Parts: sequence; structure tokens; C-alpha cells
Amino acid sequence: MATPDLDKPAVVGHGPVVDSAHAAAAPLSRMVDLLVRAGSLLLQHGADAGRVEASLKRMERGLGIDRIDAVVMSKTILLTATRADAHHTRVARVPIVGVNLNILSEVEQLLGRFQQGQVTPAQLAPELERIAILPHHYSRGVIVAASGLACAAFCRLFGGDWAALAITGVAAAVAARVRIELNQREVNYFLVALLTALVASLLASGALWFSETSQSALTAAVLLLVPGVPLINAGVDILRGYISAGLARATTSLMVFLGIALGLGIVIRLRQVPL
Amino acid sequence: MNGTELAVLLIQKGCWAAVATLGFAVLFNVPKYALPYCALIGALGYALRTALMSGGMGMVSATLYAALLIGVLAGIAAERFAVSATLFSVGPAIPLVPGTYAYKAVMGVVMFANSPELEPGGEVLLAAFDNGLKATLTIVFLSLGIALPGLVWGTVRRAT
Repeated sequence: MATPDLDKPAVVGHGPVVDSAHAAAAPLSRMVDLLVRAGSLLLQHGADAGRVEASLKRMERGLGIDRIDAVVMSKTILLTATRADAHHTRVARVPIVGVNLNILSEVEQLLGRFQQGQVTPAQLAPELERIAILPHHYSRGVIVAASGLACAAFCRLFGGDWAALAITGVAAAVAARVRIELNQREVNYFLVALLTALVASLLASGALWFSETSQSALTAAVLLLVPGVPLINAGVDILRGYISAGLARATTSLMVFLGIALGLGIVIRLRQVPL
Repeated sequence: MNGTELAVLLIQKGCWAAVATLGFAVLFNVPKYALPYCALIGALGYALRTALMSGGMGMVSATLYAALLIGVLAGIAAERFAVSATLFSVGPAIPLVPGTYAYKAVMGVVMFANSPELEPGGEVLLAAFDNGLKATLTIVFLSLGIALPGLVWGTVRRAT
């Protein structure tokens, strides 16, 4: 998704009021690159298709474009910008990075300022690049610990005792670390789910020795793998009429659940646990 | 269950749901200032679902009400900080995702498909079907409940 020439000012006009005459002077292809950059940032960090399309529409007037036609799918954006009788189309594959609500929020705030004329079209590209490389608010250690803590809380919600809670926390934290490693090596998403579930449930099955409520540990330790945001987005996409994006997300989620079920199933078979 | 017992149960569940919400909010890179609000919204949403379910309501409709509460509260918080409502709604929604139902459904289907002969009572398949339906409809209502307040608010604002 590198667009190296985007950081150069595209438009001469400055000041709070958007000068559409100046904006119109910039090549249409650069406008399309800008739109695709903004859309990709949203899509790859966990926005639903409707939000991506609505955000693109918000840039229409400020960029001096007559019409934007966008098709947003689960990993692809197709976009045509039309100005007078010229048009430009781009198909962009969008690698899904993972949920990052901070980036979503920053991009939407930027587009709000752009709509109000506080940001010029020329400032848009460098601002988007600044947002794209914003550091994560939390270190990897904190994220791993938070995953463990979340699953431990689920264990408690399922009626687990303190021993089960502690074991779940450790198992989920280790699994979260394993998942980060696997994702960095770009392992297939289904294998990531399967292997991470295997690690989580294998460690959680240690609760069989220490806890009366070992089932709650096994059920809760794999919950960090549940694709919560893709599932909610699948529902939102389908409800708002983005059927193909929604079905793609739902199918991906179903495969992740199959991975979890197989990973957990292997351990259940191995340790002879009734669930 | 009398009133005091129910209150204690709701507070306990709410607190643990807040912990789970916080964990996922950190995973999703929610800025620090928003974390306390996320935790509070997550606790209230989960407590509402627990209360409704202990009153005899099913998980599917109880989740819809809880999600609507999360959607409305997240919208209010988002207005206050002038940011996107997802910052306050996604973390609190995660504890309501019926993850165990979903993977138990898949597990049941695999077990059923893998058995050498047709199981006479059909209990495995029935349980898988039950889990799967509950999981699917709960997800649909969860996304509806979270998205609806924002959609309505957007329409009202455009109309005025």
C-alpha cells in the first residue's frame, strides 16, 4: 500500500476554506490514491464496509470530485472517482492488520476536520501517513497480560474457582503471545486459530489437577481467539446491505471457530475431559 | 433468588465483565482516557443481560437490550469527547459475544459428521443446532443493538 508521492503537497491552495478550483487542478489519480489510502486505513483496522464507504463520501466535496463510486468488500476496495467527464479507477487489496480503534477514531476525526475546511486537501496525505504510523498505546507485554486477564475474567463469569481463574489467565496470556508470533510469520489464519487454541487448551487442561471447575478453564482460555469484531462487523454489514462483505467476514469467522473447535477437540480427546 | 442476592450477583458479574472489557479494549488500542468509560459501559451491559436472563428472558432478546444500552451509552460518551462511538462500544460488546456457543456448535457438527453411524436419539445434532442458532441470532441482535442508536441518531440529525 506504499504511495510514496503522496506526501508532496498536491494542491497550491491553503487556508481554512477549501478552494475547489485549486483542488480540481490536481490529477484525479492522486485523489483516488488519497481516497484509497483513507479507506484502506479504516478497513484494515476493523471498520465495517458501511463506515468505509460513508467516510469516502465525506471526502467527495472537499477534493472537488463530482462523484465517488466505491465497492467495499472484506479485503478489497474498488473505487472510481469522476470529475467532469474524466474518471479514474483503482482496485486495492487491503491486508487486514487487526483491530485498532485508535486509528479508526483518528482517521474519522481527520475527515471531520477536512469536511469543515480546517484541513486542506494538501495536508490530508501527510496527516493520513502520520496516523498510519502512530505507535500502539500499549506495549506487547501489556497486551499479552490484558488478554490473559480478559480470559481469566470470562472463566470467573462461567463460574470457575480461583485456581481455574489463575490457570486460564496464564494459558490465555501464553496463547496470546503465540498468536502474535504466528501472525508475524504470516501463517494462514485457520492454522493460527487451530495452533493457538491447541496451546491455550493444552495449558488450561492443567486445571484438571488443581481445580474442581476445570471445564470453565478450558472453555474460557480459548475465548481470546473468538473473532468478536469481525463477527459484529459481519452482522452490521449484512444489516446495512453490504451482503458480500458481511458473508465473507461471517465465513472467515466460521472457519476460525472450526479451528478453535479442532484445537480444543484434540486436547479434550487427549485428556478425556467431558465438556 | 431474593433482591439482595440478585444485586450481589449483578455487581460481581458486572465487575468481572468490566475486567474482560478492559482486556479487550487494551488489545484494540483504545486510548487511555476512554478505558474507564469502556469498563463502566461493559459492566452495565453485561449486568443488564444477566438481570434480564435471571428474570427468565432468553439470551437472544436479553442481548438485544444489553446491546442497545451499550450503543446508547457509547453514543453519549462519543458526543462528549467528539470521537467515534466505536471507541466505547466495541470493547463492551465483546463479553456479550456468544463464543462458547459458537464453537460448541461447530464441535457438535464435527462430532455428528464424524460418527460412523446415524445416532438414534439425534441429541448431538440437536444440541449443535441449538447452540448454533443461539450463537447466530445473538450475534445478529448484538450488532443490530450496537449499530441502531448510531443509525437513528444520524438520521435524526440529518432531518433537523
